[in-house]
Amino acid sequence: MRKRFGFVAILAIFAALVMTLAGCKPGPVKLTFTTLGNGDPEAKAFDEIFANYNKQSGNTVTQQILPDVNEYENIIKTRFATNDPPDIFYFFTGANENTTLQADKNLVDFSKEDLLKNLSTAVRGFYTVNGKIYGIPWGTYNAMGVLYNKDVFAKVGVQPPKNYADFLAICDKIKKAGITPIYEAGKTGWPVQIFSLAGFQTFVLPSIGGADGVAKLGANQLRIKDIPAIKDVFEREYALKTKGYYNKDLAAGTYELQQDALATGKAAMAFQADWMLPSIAAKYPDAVDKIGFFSLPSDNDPGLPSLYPPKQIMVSSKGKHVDAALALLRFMTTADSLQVWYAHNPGIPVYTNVQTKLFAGQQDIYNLIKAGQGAINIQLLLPSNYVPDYDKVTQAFIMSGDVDKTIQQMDSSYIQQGKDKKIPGF
Amino acid sequence: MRRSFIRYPLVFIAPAFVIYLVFFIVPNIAGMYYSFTDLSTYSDKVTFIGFDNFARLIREGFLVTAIRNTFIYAVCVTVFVNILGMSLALLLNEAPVLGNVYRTAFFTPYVIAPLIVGYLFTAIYQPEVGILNRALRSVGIGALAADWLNDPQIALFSIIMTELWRSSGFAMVIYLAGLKTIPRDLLDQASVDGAGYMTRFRRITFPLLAPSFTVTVLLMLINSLKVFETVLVLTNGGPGWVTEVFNTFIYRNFARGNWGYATSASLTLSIVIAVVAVVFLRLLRRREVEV
Repeated sequence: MRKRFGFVAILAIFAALVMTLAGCKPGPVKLTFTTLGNGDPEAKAFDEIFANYNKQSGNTVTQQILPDVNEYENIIKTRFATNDPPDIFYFFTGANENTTLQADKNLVDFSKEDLLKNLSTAVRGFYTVNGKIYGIPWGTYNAMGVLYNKDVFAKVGVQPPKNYADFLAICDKIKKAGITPIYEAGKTGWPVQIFSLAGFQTFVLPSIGGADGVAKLGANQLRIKDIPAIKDVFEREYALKTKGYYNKDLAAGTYELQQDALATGKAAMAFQADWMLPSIAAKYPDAVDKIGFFSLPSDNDPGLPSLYPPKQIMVSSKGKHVDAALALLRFMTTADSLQVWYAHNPGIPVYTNVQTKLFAGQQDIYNLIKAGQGAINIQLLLPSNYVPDYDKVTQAFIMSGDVDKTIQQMDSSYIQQGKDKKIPGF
Repeated sequence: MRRSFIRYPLVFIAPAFVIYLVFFIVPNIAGMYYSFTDLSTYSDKVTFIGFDNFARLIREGFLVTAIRNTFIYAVCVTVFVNILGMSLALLLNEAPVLGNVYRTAFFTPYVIAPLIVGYLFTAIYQPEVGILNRALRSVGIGALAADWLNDPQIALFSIIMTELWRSSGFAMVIYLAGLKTIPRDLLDQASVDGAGYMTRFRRITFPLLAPSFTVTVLLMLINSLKVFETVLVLTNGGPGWVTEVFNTFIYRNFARGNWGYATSASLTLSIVIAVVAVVFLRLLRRREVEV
């Protein structure tokens, strides 16, 4: 009996040694790239890039697609909070996301890596927070403003507006022609945010001293309720409703119906971003280049587009395969890989070493950016969320028109979020 | 002998008790503790903050909306599900022809997951192409067609109607079981004595259905106070916060990463449900009679 036990023990030790030695030899790494379900083009582009990488490196990268937007953010946050971070993942952009993910503690800093050499100085500057870069920009530049149907404008005989009074006159003329001037997607909710977000650049930013005002807002030295221009933006938005410029089914309007109305000319305009254009191209390939873009105009000029830099790829510093993740990122930011991405996802690129096709509306935005116009969306500049549940806040507002209640809600919600995130000054 | 007599059942109870302890009692106690902390995804440090979370629940005002909507929903669903369920049970009890077919048809909605029911009714309530508005228009009462889920005045009512469709069959089954326990000779004797249908119902059937009534009212009330999936799918608490209920409020804050705050709302809901359940149980038990 004792002999048999000794034999088994020797066998076990031998097996353990073999396994340990096997573990010492560097072998192919299995890496999971976590991303959000954001349509076929993104998934196909990632698949193609990863297949090329797997062939070249011998590693295996697989794509894990999780639910979109809010759910995705919650899952990633929870994975970090429960010490189960993804090795490498695609995530939203903006200073508040660094706070959300506790970037200093959880993410790899790329500021000393050579991955960003093909970014313009302005783009690199946006992704740099306190001298550190926790995400590699990935995707296309978007801009919020007004998408319009060029055929409808031509039929009614109007041009993109030069100021806000001009914009109202256009709405009036289109309405008199029996066409819905603006289609708003009240049911979907988030599209309703866009007027006030685009309006922040046009009306609010100049009134608070630009970047200084944003910095004060971020440090809670300036309160939302103390900025009259925010109230003014909401009053302008509700006036569009009372003047009958919105679609009759405003409350039931969805993002998909908004696309249909704009592409078919049932509506002349939509407060949107150019991220809508690929969806229109898929459904109405002949109509997509008839959709143009202009900024929400101010009282005195054509206004500024509200820029939305692309999402970013992040690497967990506590992940099991940090080196492999960095190697993958180096491969992804080569010109060939970027070309694969932009072939599937046309739009305004952030990298200088790629060529990409632009839809007419995107070309309008690119022309504005190249002319030095545009300001980064306020949501992406603050360490706290601009306003949590902003989609619900604006959805409730467009139904009720209660400006004071909305401002009060935004103010208290913003302060509370700052406290929750333990941001200094809140 | 005596010791082994005691130990023997303990051996059988232990595994189940350990599972219950680990997966129910410990998380509940931990939840109670965390509702008094600032636990969140934004920091590893957990600080005890006393009743701050509960004070914030009251201060922010969303809880008041959520409580009001939850109670309106719970009361309406409980009352009307019982009325409809009992009516269906009485009909099927009196008319056994095709009884099984109808019983199955009425009960089937309850088997469907609330999430799926939500998606079905999202299509039914669609203002332009949904079958409800189309049906109303086709019979000449298009004036009643509405934007069922997006009109703040009727959105909650539409959610309640959905739940009535889903749960009435469940109440019907319980009442049918209760009706089967009522001795036939009692009803026959009352008929011979000249009692009409309504008198027999009021004096004999309804009092003897009291245990079924207690069970159905309590189950519907507790389930209604916990409503979540249907609201999430149909309106997500909107437009704005018009149809926000307790659990969508908890979900929103939990998802946002404010775990301590969400847990305090969850504890509040548990206390509300416990109080309502105990009060109703005592009230309803009083009117139960033995056959």
